[in-house]
Amino acid sequence: MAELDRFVPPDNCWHSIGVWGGEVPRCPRLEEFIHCRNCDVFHAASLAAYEKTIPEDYRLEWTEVLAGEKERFVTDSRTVIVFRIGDEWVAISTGLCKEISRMMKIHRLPHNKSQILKGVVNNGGEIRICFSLGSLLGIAKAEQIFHDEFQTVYARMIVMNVAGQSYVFPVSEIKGLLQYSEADRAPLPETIRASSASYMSGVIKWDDMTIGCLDEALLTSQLERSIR
Amino acid sequence: MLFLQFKINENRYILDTRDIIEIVPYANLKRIPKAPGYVAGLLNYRGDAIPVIDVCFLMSDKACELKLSSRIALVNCVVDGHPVRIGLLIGQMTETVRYDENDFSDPGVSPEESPYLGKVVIDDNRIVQLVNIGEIIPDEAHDILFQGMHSG
Repeated sequence: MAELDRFVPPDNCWHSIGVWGGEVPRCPRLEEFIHCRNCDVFHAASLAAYEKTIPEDYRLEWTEVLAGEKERFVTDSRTVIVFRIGDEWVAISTGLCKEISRMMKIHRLPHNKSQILKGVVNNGGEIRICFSLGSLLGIAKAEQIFHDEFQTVYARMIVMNVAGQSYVFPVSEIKGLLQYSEADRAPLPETIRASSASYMSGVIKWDDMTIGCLDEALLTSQLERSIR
Repeated sequence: MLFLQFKINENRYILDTRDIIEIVPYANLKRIPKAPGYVAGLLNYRGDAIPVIDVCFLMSDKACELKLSSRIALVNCVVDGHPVRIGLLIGQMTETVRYDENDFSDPGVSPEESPYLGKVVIDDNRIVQLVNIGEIIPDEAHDILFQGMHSG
């Protein structure tokens, strides 16, 4: 203990014997403080740093920031998985998705004439019902070309959990996760709402894409009806 | 309770954080010619002109220095019965501290010129004094700063 009392840390000790440096022996104070930010030496140095004159550009920048609109914090954010079916971009709540997997072989069911029910897949040892979200939504095959010499697109399967039951559906491509605020979601155009694509609760814009948000309740009820 | 601590001539003072909206750096202010020294100027805060009081000047007759530790605390207070937002320009405003309401005692001295000085608390053998935000604007400044505000 007496040794610790006599210990005089070098200048900028946090960069040498402290957590932001790799020198040995390590600072003996770290045993007590764990991290430099809890240490009074570091605290005193940070207070000294605040006693410097305000740089002019820093001041100007803040004057501008304060004069402008306050940045809006997204408090009602939702996260969706964005994927493509044919030419259409669709989003589904991440809460419904259980897994994104590579394409699995679909075992057709005998005497099945439904376009929506595709068959069953073996998803890690579990037999799951596979359906076509594209057929359910009435989306035709892609007309645009989405791959080029720089980018390859991979078809995937999404494993979705609905009311304790897992379903699998293939998609043309997964774009990624998107976080959006309720205010970013626009209502569907009237013409679309009347048509078969009315499983959407709205559209969101992301870069130059217009993404349809799947209405979970509608999708669930329609799915159960179509498959039974 | 959480308080914001600042120092003037090595003496420690605290503000009640419940009245504070935001703490911002010492941005450029529009000076008000002929105004008393403790009126630092007007801050363009999100499109509104907000009067800023130089608390250092008010308490020590020395203008607040242009240092990184000098900041503006935007606070809610009531002037002549009207709620207003003002900025308090304060130097060496670098820390927050927690004290219990029961730790405070009355200092027994309250100079007439500084009605904003409130109760005190002893921390590490040193006296820390509460500054009441509601009392901080001198009466004479009410007319200068909030003239137009109430007539409408």
